[in-house]
Amino acid sequence: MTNKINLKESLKKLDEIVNWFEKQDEVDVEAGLARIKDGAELVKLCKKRLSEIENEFEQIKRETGADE
Amino acid sequence: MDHALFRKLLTWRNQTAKKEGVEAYRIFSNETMRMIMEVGPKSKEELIAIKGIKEKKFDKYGQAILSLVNGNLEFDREEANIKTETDQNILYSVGTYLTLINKSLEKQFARIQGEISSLDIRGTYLFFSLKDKTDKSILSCFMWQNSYQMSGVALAEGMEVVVSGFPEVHRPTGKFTFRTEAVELVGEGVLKKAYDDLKAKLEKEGLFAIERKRALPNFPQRIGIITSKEGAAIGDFLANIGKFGFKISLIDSRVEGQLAVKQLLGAIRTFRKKKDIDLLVIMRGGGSMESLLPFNNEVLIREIVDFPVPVLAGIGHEKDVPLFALVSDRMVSTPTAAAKALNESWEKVVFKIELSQKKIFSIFENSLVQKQVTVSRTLEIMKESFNSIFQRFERAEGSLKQAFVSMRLCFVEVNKNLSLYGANLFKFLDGRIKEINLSVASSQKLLQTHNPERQLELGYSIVKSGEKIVRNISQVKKDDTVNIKVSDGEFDSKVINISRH
Repeated sequence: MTNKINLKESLKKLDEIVNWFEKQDEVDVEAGLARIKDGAELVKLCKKRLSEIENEFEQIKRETGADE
Repeated sequence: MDHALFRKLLTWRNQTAKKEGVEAYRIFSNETMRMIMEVGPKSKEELIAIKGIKEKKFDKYGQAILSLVNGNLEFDREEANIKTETDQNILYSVGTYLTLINKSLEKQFARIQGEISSLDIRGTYLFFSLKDKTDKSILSCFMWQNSYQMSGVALAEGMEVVVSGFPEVHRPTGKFTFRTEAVELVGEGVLKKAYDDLKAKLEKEGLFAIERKRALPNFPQRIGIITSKEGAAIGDFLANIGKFGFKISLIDSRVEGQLAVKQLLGAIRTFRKKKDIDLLVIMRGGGSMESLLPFNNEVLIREIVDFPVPVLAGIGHEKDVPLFALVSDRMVSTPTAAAKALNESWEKVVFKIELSQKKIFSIFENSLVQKQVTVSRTLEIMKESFNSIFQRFERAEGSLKQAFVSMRLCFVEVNKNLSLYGANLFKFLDGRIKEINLSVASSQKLLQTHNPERQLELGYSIVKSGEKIVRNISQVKKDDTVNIKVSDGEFDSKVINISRH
């Protein structure tokens, strides 16, 4: 659950950074640097979440209508 | 209802009552027994939540009930010990005898085809008889109303059907009867007509409408699956699902034949109650209309109409799409396709991240290049204006340029290394940025120190003759007018005397 929130939020933040860069006519180096650092961190986070994570599998019982 | 369990509970109650010498209802009322069956308590908390069971009763009977409900072996063995053979040395009461008979009759579970020759539908149950077309023999049948509704078939006299169930002696009447658990239509034509009729009905209600369909969630994680754990479907599905950290919960259910309806319903309701999935997947391999019967069952179809999360149907079929799939939020025709549908949003996001990364770095890199060009150009202009006076200026310019080049190189490198995300990457990035900042700062200081304007403030001045800066006496003659620039302005002056050092 936490992974999921992180990924969605990270993507949103990454999007915001991309948008910021795309909107600037002239990128301020200081401000750009700060965002690049954030962006790189987010990319790292997202990629880690998307790197192979084993699935969990379990069988559960029917609770109702277990009519045989 | 789980009849085997219900019988066990009843037997236990009777035995306990006998042991304590009280009426059976003193142990647990029928209502409480019914609740136990419905809830299927797994813990003390769940059991105590049932009306009629308090701490006191729990202490007395709790463990026995929990063991029975959760299939404790000891009680199963006790159950197995109940004889199904009659013993000529024992004098039976009618009730005990019928219990014994019904118990052995229950093993004769069967599917029987015949024609409905009489039908009597009463409140919560119905009677009908099934006639053999060739030898005219008759089977009396009994069926509970809810089993009837679940079958999704409207019985009528003269109709050819297949019933599933087992024989028993109906206690209130003492008559032999076939306890019908499910009834289904027979014959391609009849099945097709039932399919078409239900399809038209559901369509009219707008249940197939595209506006009703919910999109599969982005990045689904908790997947509920209903299928047969014995079938090929689950294997195909698991072989094709990506490794994105899915949490897959499977409820095993029959997926073929009319009797599957109850199990499928139970499975769907279990997931509805648990409320801990992002998406429900129901799947099975392909089959004929007859084997897909449960997926054209109205009760089952309506169960997913308002299911709290999107439902994905992966049901193989030949010609007529199962109505269940048409009502689901998304249908695919194989378990493999179902797995791929779940991978979709995860795979898309991988590309999106790569793209974002490229965009950010290239925009920033470009802006650094631009800055570098601007600085170079400015320096060029300054250099032209004050050409040879301040040689050291060039050195400062060089190092500032160098700083920007190395900053850009640094980012190119970081961008390149990002896919490897080594542990030292950010330490490296930090270090480089500090270094570059230092280098830029010192270059700026150097530039400031050697800024020609600043030199003017120190008392130096720039002398121009015409447009040329005067560097030596050969450039001027007596009585020439020269222009002299000082820190806050300029003035013209006349050469009066020239002397060489």
